Amino acid sequence: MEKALGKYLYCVIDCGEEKQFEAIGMGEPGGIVYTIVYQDIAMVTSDVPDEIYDPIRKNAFCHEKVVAEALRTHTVVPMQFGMVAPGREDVIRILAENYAELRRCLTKLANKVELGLTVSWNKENFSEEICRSSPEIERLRQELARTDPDLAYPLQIRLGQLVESVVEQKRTLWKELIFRELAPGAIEVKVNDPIGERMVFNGSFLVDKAREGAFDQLVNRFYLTYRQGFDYKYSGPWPPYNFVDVKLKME
Amino acid sequence: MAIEKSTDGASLAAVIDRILEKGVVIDAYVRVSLVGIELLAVEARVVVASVETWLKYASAVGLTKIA
Repeated sequence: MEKALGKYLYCVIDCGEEKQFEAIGMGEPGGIVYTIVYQDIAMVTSDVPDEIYDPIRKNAFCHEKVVAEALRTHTVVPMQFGMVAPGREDVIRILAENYAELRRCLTKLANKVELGLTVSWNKENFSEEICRSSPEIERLRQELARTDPDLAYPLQIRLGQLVESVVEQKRTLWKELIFRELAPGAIEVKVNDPIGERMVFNGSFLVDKAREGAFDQLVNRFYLTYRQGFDYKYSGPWPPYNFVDVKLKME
Repeated sequence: MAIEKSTDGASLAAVIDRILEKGVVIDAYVRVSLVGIELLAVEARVVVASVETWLKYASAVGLTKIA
């Protein structure tokens, strides 16, 4: 049976005209990406079968690429992955019924960029620093080395719990350090859960576009001071996913 | 050497860390499979259950291997 067509929702932008974007929409084959307008705001959308979307690599990057393309020329309020409205009228209703809230978000995010920073221990430094900071961890490691692998499970759990608690303490210190050094250059900071054991900081910064260069310098200075033993990933500008927290209503 | 800033070649983890739980939500229109999210989370190592987490922390300081 042919699935009904719906509108995949990428983001809301400050735009009062119907237009298309040079991006390929969700699904196979991906459709044209275009705006559905209500007054001076618009939803960026493409026609898709109204079905479940798996956040597999291809779909995740498709969503991100479309929003990134819109970001090149507009202020965007990004939608969460995997939202499909049944039809054009429904999209217009979303925009109309939530106009004030969306306008407020667009105003807050105008001329701002989201920049991401993750800091991770590199492999050697992780073991070394964590073991050095707790004699009990070092003792457990040595005991584990002498233990029959079949009986090692409880020790491994105990060791893992200890390592996690030490790592958490160090993450708290890093968070304080990064706040002290980098937050003054940003309007807002959002700290997210680390991805993986060795990540020590995962955060995003909302920065005034005019001060992006100055913030880059701030990050660079921080990096040059604290890079020893750590891997840094500095990324952006991202659509401001970390700085919208909105649930829209549909009456 | 200065730190480089870019979104080119951004990792899957960095992308889904943003698009899966952040951004505007309209409950009635969510069309995401939860199983899909779990599979992706495993691939990108975003969430792991606690016992497995501890084993991973143990393994991260060496000696113990995850089976």
